[in-house]
Formats: sequence, structure tokens, C-alpha cells
Amino acid sequence: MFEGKFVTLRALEKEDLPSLKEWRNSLHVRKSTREYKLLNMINQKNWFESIHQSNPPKDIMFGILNKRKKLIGVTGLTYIDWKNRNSEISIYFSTKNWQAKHEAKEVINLIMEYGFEELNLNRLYVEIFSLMKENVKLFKKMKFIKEGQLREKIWRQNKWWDTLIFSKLAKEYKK
Amino acid sequence: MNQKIKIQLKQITKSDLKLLIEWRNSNKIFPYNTQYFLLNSKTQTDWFNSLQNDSSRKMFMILHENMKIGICGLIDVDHKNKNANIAIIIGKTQLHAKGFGTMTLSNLLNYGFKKLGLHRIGADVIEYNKTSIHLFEKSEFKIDAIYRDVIWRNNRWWNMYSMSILKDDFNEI
Repeated sequence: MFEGKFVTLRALEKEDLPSLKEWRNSLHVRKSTREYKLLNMINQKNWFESIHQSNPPKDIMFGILNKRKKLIGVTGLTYIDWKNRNSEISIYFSTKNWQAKHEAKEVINLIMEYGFEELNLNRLYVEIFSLMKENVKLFKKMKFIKEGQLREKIWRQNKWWDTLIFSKLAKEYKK
Repeated sequence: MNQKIKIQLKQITKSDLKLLIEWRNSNKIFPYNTQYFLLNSKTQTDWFNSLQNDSSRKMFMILHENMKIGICGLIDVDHKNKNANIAIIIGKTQLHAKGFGTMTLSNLLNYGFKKLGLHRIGADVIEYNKTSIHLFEKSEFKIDAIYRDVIWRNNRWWNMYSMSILKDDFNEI
């Protein structure tokens, strides 16, 4: 368990999958993630199995609990590249407009603490669709550096969108 | 570009795997790929088998006057967002800097944009691979992003250039 002031991160359990399915199928999460199909329990169970397949893991996922120990979101490190010590950060909450809340910033701080201090990773990055202005704002606020913009990489809402790459290096990380 | 260079793209067969191992493990090629372990016949056979039912990878042997000179293809093909990445290895290194890379690239772009109907084709290149960066720039690719310190090679961190070309900027051959 990784505890902050507002949230706690714990391991995901199989019992969480129905909630995750519901959240990932909701519009506010779908428009920020690469998945474009609606997920069912088969997808969820396969995904849960797959993240436990490799050792060392390629994905390390957490459930986000609020003060009252209620599951309110999911975060984790995905596409972990142990050779080059690089990983993507994944984060979403059950309700929309989470980006401006204290909880969001604390989750990112906890995941950076884990990635840099425990796993000795060198670079943590996010790929944000340009339609997700809230996420851009959040990661700028967390002092991630914009590395560039992949032109017209995704098709959503009847048009092409760029994706923005933001990263933080271990040498830029301050607790 | 030397327009007279003729190449053909052909399907890869199991009998090509030995040649691919030799190329990919050679000192002139190995440092430019993100692959960091040496390949053997087991890794290559597994790779070959995994290609067979994978619509996200379209790989070809490059032939010049019936001689196998390299391997190329489109990888990470994302049919939903009409996006893919380029992979090119000119294995016959004595043929480097003679226009074969440019010709291969233009064949692949044609295949990706015209045949697969892609919208964007990208290429990720390690910063010290100046030849490839130059090759892509010459073919109208733009640098979209520079991933910082993303590759550890030769006892230090290196950046990676993420380049791309959009269908609208593509000039047919």
C-alpha cells in the first residue's frame, strides 16, 4: 500500500474488474485512452491475466482508494522497458473532471515516487490526445516536459488529432 | 535519388532467416536497432511464425537483381487510426549510401499510403543514426518529437527522434 494524504494505492484484484469495465466504457475515459471498443468481462479478464504473465512485469497497476477506502480510479506503469528504464504512466478516475483535483496530483506523485525511487526508472512519460486539454494542463502543472507532438496520430470525433508526449526524467524528479 | 535503382519487395520465407540473423547481429547494423540481445535461430523462427497471422506487421525481403540485400516493412500497423511505423535494414552493408534505402522507403510509403490506405507513417530513429534521419528528412518526414534519454547504449543515454509523414505530403513514385 502506498499512502498519501488523500489517496492510497493498492494492488488491483479480480473483484475490481466490473468497476473498471464500467469506467473504461464511460465516455470521459474512452476519449482519453487508445481503446476504441467497448469492453466486456472477457476482455477484462484476459487483460488481468496478461498483466500477470511476464516477470519482470511489463505493467504494474494499482487501484486508487479515497479516504473512505472506496475505489475511485486506476493508475499504473505500463510498457515498462527494464533495459532502458522507461515507462508510460496510466491514470483514470471513475468520475470526470478529476484532473483538477488534489487526488490526481497526489496519484502522479505517488506513481513517480514508486517509478523513480523504487524501480529506479529513468524516464516516465505520457502520450496525451490533443482533445484532452485537462490532461495537458495537469501534466504541465506536474512539471513534465513536452517532447513533441505526433501529428494526426489518432482519429476521434470525426477528425484527426495529434498526440502530445510529455516526460519527466529521474534527474528532474524532486520529491 | 538514383532513379535507375531497381528493387523488388518479396515475401519472407523460412530460408531467409539465417541471412537475417547474420545481418541483424552484425556490428554495422546491431547498434542502430533497439534490439539489445543477439538473435539466434530460435528467436528468428519464433519471430517468423509470429508474423504469419499478424496484421500489424507487413515485412518484406528487399531484392536487387535477384540478390537479397535487406529487409523492410511496416510495423505497429494501427488499422483503426491508419498509422504505422517504418522498418528498413539494408543488410548488404557494402550497398549503403547508394540509394537503396531511399528506394526502399519510397516503395514502402507507396505500399502504406496507396495499398493499405494509411494516413500517417512514422519512424523512430536513435539520434546517432544520422544517415537514417537524413534519409527520412529527404523523403519529407518531419521530426514530431524528440524522446529524451530513452535509449541506453554504449554507457550513456541517447535521444530518439520520432519522425512522420502524412498522406497529404507524400509524393508518389
